[in-house]
Amino acid sequence: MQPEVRANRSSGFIRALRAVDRALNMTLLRIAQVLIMTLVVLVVFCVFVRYFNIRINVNWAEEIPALLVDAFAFLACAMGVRDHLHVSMGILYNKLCVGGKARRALEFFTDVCVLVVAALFIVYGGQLALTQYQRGTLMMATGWPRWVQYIGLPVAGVVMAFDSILFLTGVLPQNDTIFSDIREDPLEQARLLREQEAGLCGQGEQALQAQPGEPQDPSREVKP
Amino acid sequence: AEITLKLSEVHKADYPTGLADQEFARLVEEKTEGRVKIDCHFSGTLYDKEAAAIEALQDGEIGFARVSASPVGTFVPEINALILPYLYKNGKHMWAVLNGEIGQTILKNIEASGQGLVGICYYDAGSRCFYCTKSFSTVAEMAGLKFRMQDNPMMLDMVAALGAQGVAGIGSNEVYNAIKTGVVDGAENNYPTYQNMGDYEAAPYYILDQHTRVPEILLASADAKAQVGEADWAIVMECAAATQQYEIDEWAKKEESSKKIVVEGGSTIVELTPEAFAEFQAAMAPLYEKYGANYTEIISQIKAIGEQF
Amino acid sequence: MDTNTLATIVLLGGFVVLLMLRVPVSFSLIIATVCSALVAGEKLTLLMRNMVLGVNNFSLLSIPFFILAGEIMGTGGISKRLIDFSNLCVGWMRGGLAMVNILASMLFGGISGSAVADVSSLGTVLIPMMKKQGYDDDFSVGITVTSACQGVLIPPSHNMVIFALVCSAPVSIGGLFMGGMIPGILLGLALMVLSYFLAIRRKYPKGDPIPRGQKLKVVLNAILPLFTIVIIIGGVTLGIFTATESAAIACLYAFIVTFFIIREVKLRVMGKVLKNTLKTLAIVLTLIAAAKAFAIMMTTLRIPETITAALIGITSNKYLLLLIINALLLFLGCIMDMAPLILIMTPILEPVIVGTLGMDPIHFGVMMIFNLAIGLCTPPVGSALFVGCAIGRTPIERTSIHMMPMYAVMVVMLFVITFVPQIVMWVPNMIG
Ligand code: NA
Ligand code: NA
Repeated sequence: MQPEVRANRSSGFIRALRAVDRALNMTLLRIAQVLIMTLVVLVVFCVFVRYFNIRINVNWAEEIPALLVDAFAFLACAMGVRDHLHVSMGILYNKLCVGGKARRALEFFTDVCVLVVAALFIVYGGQLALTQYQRGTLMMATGWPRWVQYIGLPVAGVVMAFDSILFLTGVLPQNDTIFSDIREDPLEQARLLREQEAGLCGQGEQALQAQPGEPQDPSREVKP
Repeated sequence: AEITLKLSEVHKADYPTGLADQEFARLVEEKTEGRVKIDCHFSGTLYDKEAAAIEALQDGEIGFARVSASPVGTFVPEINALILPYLYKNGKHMWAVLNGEIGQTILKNIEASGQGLVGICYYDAGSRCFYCTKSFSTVAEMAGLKFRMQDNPMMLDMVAALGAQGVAGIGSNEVYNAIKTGVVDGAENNYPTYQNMGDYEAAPYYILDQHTRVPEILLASADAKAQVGEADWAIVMECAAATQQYEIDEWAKKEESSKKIVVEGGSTIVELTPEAFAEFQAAMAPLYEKYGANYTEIISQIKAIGEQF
Repeated sequence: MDTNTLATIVLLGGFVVLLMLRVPVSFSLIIATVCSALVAGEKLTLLMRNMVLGVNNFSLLSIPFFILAGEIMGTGGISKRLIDFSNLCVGWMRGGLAMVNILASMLFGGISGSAVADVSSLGTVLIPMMKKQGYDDDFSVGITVTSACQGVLIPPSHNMVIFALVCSAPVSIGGLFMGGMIPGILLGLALMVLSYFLAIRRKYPKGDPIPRGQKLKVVLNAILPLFTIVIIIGGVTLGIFTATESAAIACLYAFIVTFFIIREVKLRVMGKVLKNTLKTLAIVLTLIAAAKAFAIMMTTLRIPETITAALIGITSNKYLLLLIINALLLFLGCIMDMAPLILIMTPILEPVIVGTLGMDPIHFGVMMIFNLAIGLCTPPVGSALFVGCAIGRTPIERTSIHMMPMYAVMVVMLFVITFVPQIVMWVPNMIG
């Protein structure tokens, strides 16, 4: 495959870019993982407080969880960009030949769109966070600063912009992923299968059946 | 020049404040001869949270927002004194305060705070009362009951001071189910919400303790005021003032019709004796110490006004 | 042309064009919204602020929790236990494995809220088993995929949470959950009847009987995972928890059962489980944020009113209108995924269905989700079908042609629950 060849010849600078990108995205993943576990713990704690009549005034029961969801929503959005997870409609794309110019044009266009959205996140999300920061407004229940609820937007925007620029410049190949192991993801496998179907340009089922699969589940080897 | 300003309202168009917004918009367009138009957006379609609508006013995204007084307390702390529990004897008492010197000074201070907001006028939101699956009329009977409360530290402290437990984190859509299934014993709200959400079918005792009277405030953005210009702004203020009594009347009508529905639906309205009310008031001492310490002067003035009611 | 018309064209047209060019749905929504706002002269911070507001919401919490609980349950050999248990219950019938497949989906649906999760965890075991016993491969894939749709109807279902969130009429998550239960079970039963007749005609075998001595073990093994259903459904109906809390408790329970009682996987897998949860959330939450901005622009341009007027203009007959709306949703469901359609179509259709036709919001929600669930198993875009075909190694086109009888059953069931509201409303009314 082409991207791999390119990968071998890549310069130190390109490898450094990839390493930075990986580190950035892994940081997002770690933060998001911690946030989601915190969420479970907080809500379970609230149930305990109520159920066992523990005399603690939980006044953050809505504000903090809402804040956490909002933080990891945008972090997850950026992670989704890195691995091309966001659902799209392949009606036209799948009809085009694998590796063809038309497909590459669509891929390029998608990355440009992501870059545009990332720019919007940075500019307007940054503006929202900044004005709240300057005003020093606080939230009702917790008294935390209000800018916290907007900060996920520009942070995600920066990572998304970085990712999409790397995809656009070819530093990262289109099918490169960090969070997904293609062999393990059923949706990803379904996508590959459809690509093969399209790529075979209607050679029929025999060719499809004969595709050398990578069955990780032994039961899958069973053929009728 | 002609300008159109947006108004954000979280309630429906036929809610008393919604009707007042429309009346306000109608009057403004008529009196300014079309120079200022107000485009009302109801049911939270623009911003479903009042705190966000206030931010939007500050950033000049919209011209007006009708919000509850309590989030405005962030900008003008004295508002926190107006919304303390068991402060007013009745509605008349509150209106004497709001339309008197105390209320009007606070309204002016909203603009003076330099946060990009302009206070226009107060509207009525009635009083909030507890409703419960059991009847109670004294503080002692509240011990151990669980009430769904808004996520607001003072309100949670209030319930704790009454010996009950406040539960935050239940959305308003989930209150009915939460009561029906025993997650909580009750909740608290005004008559229209008690009726409209169907909560009266789950919690048939409405305890008329009238713990808080949190008025609504019509706010404008400082940008909008600048855009409108001084001459027309004076007209805008006049129009708003003219809608206040209209809203109070609409509120009374709404409260009456909601009350009728819940009573016909089998709810019992539990009135408090003056002695019981005094007992509830007395239980608030720690709360006034915690939240009212900075406003002792205003509070005593308000209490003094209450003598005549 | 006035500004509003132009902005409407930019909003809707731009969205469709971007979608066709394979721009992800959420980014298509954002870009179309922003372009339309520029035309209409709206402030962009209004839209960005609303994107944040869209996800800064306490009611959203149960979505990550239900997804996480499903992911944990999916890792630790739960599907195998549910399959064995189903085999004990219905395996003896003609077409036994097909029945097992459907019943297991029903049970698994009580744990996961996703049809894709259902297909991939049950399908990987059942499809090869069915093929081995002589079932046609299209049938094996088809029945796996269609029965998996019970997962989005039988509680928990994060798609119902999404619906409750965007529906402007007050509708409780608990109520929707209760409403989806009977339609989900009925869909399973209808598919069982179909499988029975096909099994007789195509001479599909009965299942392998379970040795007498193992029956108790099979039941015991299934009890722990099945208790999740008790936590969620029982917790909400008996009033021990709210929907959000039951979801969090289900996570905790799934965690303890999987890693400390069943112990088929190591605790270290938890990192991957969280990662997979986040991958699903990335898609869902971004869509919710983007759809919020899109909906604001739609209401600003008064698009729902225009569409309501147009629909009522066609006919004022309630049944005909519901027929048209369902046909429209079926069509959209074929070409688009469920979550974005719930987010986009609910604000558009609610004024007609709840406002004009007076349908209960719970009934509306269940009908819409049932309808869109059919789209999950149809080409050209159907994630459940794709995953099923990938597992069964059958071509999508041929499989979908052989699935016609199953589509027919699903569409018939859709119209039954559309026109007989009691089926949906019975449980919510009984409990509420
Ligand atoms: Na489910
Ligand atoms: Na489809």
